[in-house]
Amino acid sequence: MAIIRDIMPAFELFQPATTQDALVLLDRYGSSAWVLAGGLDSFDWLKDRIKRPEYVIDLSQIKELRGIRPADGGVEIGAMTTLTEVVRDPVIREKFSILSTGAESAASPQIRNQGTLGGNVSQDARCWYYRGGWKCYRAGGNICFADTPSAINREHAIFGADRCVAVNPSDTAPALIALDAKMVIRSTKGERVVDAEDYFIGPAIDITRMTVLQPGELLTAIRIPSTWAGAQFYFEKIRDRPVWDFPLVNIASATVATGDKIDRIRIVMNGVAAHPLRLKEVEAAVTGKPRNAETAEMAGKMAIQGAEPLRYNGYKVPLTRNLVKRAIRGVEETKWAS
Amino acid sequence: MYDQHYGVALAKRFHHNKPPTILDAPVKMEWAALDIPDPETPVGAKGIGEPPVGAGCMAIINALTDALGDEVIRRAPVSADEILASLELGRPAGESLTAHI
Repeated sequence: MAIIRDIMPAFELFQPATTQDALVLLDRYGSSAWVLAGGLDSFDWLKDRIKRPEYVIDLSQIKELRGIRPADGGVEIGAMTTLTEVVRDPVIREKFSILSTGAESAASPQIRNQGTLGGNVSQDARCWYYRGGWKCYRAGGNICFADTPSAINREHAIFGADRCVAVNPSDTAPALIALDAKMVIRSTKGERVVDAEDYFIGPAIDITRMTVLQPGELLTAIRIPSTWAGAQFYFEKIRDRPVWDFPLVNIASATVATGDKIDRIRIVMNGVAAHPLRLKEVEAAVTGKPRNAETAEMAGKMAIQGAEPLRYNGYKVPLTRNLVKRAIRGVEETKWAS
Repeated sequence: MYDQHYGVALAKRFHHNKPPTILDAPVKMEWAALDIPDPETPVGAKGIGEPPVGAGCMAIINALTDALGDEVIRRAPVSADEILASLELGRPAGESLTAHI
């Protein structure tokens, strides 16, 4: 009888019913524990047999991590809330619609029914060398396979290449940074709240992680303050197919303007660096200026300063420039022509 | 899709090859038939399964070449990003005989 050895390696599965139970388990097993939310990122790793955790902690039974509730004039979204729930929530659609637009552009309807918001912001890079199990810097090795003259790097980064040129593939991440969201992280040692902007880290801080989550920590909720409620939003995601694909480049911006003049603005791009980029210099430069073509031109040129394209991703530079121009002018070209 | 240096397959999963979905199909399509019966079959019918795909693809590539000049695209598959990169640079951005995937 054939003995099948090519199966997913056995792990011990825990399905705690409360957050505290989950935290105790995470504390006990430390870095050998794997947190399972919707499973859309985890199963790629597990089925390819590249990551072989001994303990998997499934959060699907924890009711307190789900749901969207009002908090302090804004909303608090449980980390296990599915993307579909985020898309459909009336309060988010009314006041923070950039998050529902961003979440709706993620993947496909089936994936959005299962995928969670916490998972979408914490997801790992999609560089196919890294995902194929090649031992690169991000995997703990000491080489980058994508940043070479012959590598297939069409979807990789144009900014901040620091031993790793993979990009953050999330669509909700730039929307949350534009809304100045706060990430609530809990461990057995207590709770800490991190600004969305600081939640995502680049290779300079820790090349093996995309977020500040340490082993033993859990992202439990995302709080959106009322700061940008009802602002003028612009979200656009560039991808090869109208559905499923990760962003090649995407942009999320929130603008508060009096008449034509920009009072305050946040512009965040993703798909161009290892973490979502908040274009602070561009924001500072356009504050107080009118939302016209001249400001947009200036902002676009400024946004691409310092871009270092690789062999195959030079097209991301004009895309970045043009998306920033569109965000400044607030052109509603976000509907796909069908 | 293979890495050019190591020769290892990178596109291992279905989604890496990005198969078109129903949302890629145009909503409005027009077609016409010549309505000339095939003289070599008993009823004049003829199977037309695969050849029109190639013809359609090349018709579009001809149109792109007409717009961009001869050196930018010399083979299929063509993706929007090589066109954008070439327009931005003002000259062909990639190697025209290498598939840009």
